[in-house]
Amino acid sequence: MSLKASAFRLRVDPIGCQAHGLCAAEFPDGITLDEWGYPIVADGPIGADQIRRAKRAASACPVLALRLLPVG
Amino acid sequence: MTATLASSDSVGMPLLVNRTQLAELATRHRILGRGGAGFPLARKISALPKRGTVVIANCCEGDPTSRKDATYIGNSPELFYSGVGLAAHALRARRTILAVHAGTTIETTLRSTAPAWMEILAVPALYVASEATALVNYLNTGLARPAGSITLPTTAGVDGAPTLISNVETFVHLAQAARGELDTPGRRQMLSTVTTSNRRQVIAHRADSTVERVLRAAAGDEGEWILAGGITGRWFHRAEIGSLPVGTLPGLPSYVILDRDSCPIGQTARMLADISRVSAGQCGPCIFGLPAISTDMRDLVRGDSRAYARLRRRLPVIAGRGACAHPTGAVGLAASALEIYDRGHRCSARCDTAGVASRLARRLR
Repeated sequence: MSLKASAFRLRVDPIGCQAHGLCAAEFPDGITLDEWGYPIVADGPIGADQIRRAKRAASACPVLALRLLPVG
Repeated sequence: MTATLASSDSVGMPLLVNRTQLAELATRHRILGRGGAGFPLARKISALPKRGTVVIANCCEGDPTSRKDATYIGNSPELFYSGVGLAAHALRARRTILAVHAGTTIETTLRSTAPAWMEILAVPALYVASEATALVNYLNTGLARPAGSITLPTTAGVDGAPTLISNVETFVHLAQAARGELDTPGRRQMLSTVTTSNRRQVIAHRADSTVERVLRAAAGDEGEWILAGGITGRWFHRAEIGSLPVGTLPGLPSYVILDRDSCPIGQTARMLADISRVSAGQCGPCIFGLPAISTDMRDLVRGDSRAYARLRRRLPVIAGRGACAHPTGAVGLAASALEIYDRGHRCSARCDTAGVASRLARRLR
């Protein structure tokens, strides 16, 4: 299965997220933290040049609350 | 304009349609979800498979500003059950569930009038427990709080089965449509709840009636600020909302006329404290965001002008980031209070008092 890198987006599971903040450290261009440490993920598909960082951000979450999902 | 609907003498008449015909009815009559979100019923039906579904009628009516569903069930239960039965048959439902807040008068009515083959599910009488994914979560896990799943209930709901969840009024409309008794959207009968400082009334009216007409029918106070759309609705000046047709407005058709002595910003501060108190406490925006903006709003009422900037910064950060719409609703309410501030309204000591809207919010559990 070959999907274009542009066809992915990040999705936070807001119930699972415990504000560890590791995702934002891995992917600062796409994820910022609110004042309480919870991630704010940029809307829209992730560009091909950033997909590697997005994957690292998802992998870094200690509670698996960040997922890289196909758009749509 | 009183809260009575024509009762049908055709109880038990077999009105049988298949799934395609059900979707057609919903499309042709433009039947929308009536729990506040206004999602087209036809789209929910189209997402369901031909059999093995679960049908849930959401009879919780957890919003303390609304009594329309209780009125439908109290005044025309046969019409409501007929709509539920119609959907359950068309979708070949394996379970048909009437979900209701435990210990309410609606539960008593359902237990004494519902057809035996419909299951009555008494859920904890908590505001957030009546949200659609919370009902599914309660049935599946026993936890009465929103699940925030990526998967929609129409794909995988109760026991993993595709599940249709709709509001009482939606099923009433479906029954009326099947009998050829449902008017076009503008002429359609609907029920709105109007609350004033001393009474709450349910008004039957046409969807194209203006808000002002409905408010007058309730013969309520002449207050100028109206809370529209539910406890997490928005404030409107009466002159601004009065000329709009009720049927075109988002959210629940409920209107709280604020007494002249109360201040909408002061009310909002108190309401936010209660809205925050009843959150499921699962996500950051509710755990930290709602208490923060509730405190900010109270500070604004008490004359701290810097609280305005904090609210302007925090509101857009909190909206849309919870597992359910609870924080987003709270932000909408808060934002409408800030619009009143923007018009030049400044609070004095007497704004920090209870009023009709904050008393309703106090009842949230």
